[in-house]
Amino acid sequence: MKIVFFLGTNWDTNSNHYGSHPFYLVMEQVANSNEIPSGRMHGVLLLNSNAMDYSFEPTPSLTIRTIGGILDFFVFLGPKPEQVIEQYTWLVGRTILPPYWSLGFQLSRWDYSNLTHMQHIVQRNRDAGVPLDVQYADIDYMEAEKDFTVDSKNFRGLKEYFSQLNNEGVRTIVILDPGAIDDQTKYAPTIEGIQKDVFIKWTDGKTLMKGSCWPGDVFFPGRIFSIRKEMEFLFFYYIDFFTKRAQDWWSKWIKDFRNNISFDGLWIDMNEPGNFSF
Amino acid sequence: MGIIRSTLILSVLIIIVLIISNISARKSFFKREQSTRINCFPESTSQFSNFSKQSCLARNCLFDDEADSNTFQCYLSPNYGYILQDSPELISNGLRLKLKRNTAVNSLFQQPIENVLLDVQYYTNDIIRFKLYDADNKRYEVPIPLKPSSEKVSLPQYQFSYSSDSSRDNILSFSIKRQDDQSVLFDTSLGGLVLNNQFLQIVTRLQSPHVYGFGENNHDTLKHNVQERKSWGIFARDQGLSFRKSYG
Repeated sequence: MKIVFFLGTNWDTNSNHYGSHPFYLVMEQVANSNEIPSGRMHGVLLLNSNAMDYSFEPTPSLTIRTIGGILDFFVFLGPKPEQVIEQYTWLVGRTILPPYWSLGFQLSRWDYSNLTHMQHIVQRNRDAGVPLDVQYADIDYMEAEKDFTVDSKNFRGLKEYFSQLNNEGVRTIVILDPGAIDDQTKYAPTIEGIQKDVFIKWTDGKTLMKGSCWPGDVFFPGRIFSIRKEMEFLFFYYIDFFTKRAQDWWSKWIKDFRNNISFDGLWIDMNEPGNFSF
Repeated sequence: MGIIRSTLILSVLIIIVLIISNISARKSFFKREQSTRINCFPESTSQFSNFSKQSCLARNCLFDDEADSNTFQCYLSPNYGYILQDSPELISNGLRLKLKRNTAVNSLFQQPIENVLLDVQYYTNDIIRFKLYDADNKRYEVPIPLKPSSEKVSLPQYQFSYSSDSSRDNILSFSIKRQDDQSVLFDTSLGGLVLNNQFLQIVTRLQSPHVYGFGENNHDTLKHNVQERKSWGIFARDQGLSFRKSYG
């Protein structure tokens, strides 16, 4: 179980993480002043989604390198720091306002073996006097870890349990991994997704880009990445969320799914996108 | 005799002073030159790198046998870059510069982009956009919706200017200044503009060392340390934290 008490964890690497934000801010200095901040700020966005890196020199200077796309820059003149952010989010879109309840106490973990297990953990927290505002269901609830399915054996009754939690004032969140498994005979979201052309293709414009994720498999032979032995490994297609047809397909399946199970929020995981093949 | 002797001593002294001042002038020139070098082998410290004098020269870069650890041993030719062709063309709310690669210096990597357009767009009074792209081939651009630009920009906070450096094969550099106090916010005069199919690099002077942002990476401090020669990656990655305790 993950420990949730605060700790200033000191990572000694400068490795990259989940998000990609090619945007920086400079607090300007008073001319000829030995670096005294002037209170004026500007921001710079490089609108490029390729892998990149950046480094500094004492000059001071900044070097940015990327492996594709074009160099498309926006400079935001502020001059107040809050104006820079205002101008930046005006251009790319404002940050969403999170719902009040999402700031509450949340219980989230992977590997609840079944609904009884989840109920037991919830009860144990309540018995210990730990407040609970939000309860999560990780990929365990799915049928073979496929999106928009509920494990009919181990999580039978999840719908009723989540309604009960809702009635008790607890919000619920279910996970979705934005990809669709390579099952073109039985799995309806994939069949429909191919018909509606929602998946990412290679540069030939035809071949679907296959990766592997939950419930994934490896793409290259020889590197079997076994997460859970009993799991059936399958390939996985990535969704091209930049297209309206993909957005429509994705929202339609979420709406349909909400008829089967009540949830107040979605936990979108593996959306970097994650790929176990590498 | 006395006069001759003192004249001789004086001449010798003058010569010595001249030599010393010449050396120190050259030293400070080299220091300046060394401190503004553009790294040509950023991966040299990586375990996968095959850094050597040979591999540096094979990349058409310059190699300094005597470089100490404060400077880059393998660095880009100061003349590497793009040269302005014709006079700029006026486009709506901005201008377009036609550039050609300076072929006097061979490209670092394969598939250099030979003809480049630099479009400068006065986006709003507070935002200026500039875009360097291949004049001959369409390349990938991020298809996210952006707020459209103002129709007319009447009081821009900024000023765009460009110049060609005659001491460096006329390569182009450009800058963005604040209109009111002339602070230089973006300035490519150090050189280092490299545009190839799979390698694009730009270098800018920073108005101050107080830099924040970029991500997501692990940082010990919010403010970046410009003294530190570290490179930071930006590429969304599912990075496990080995279930250690964290901040939240």
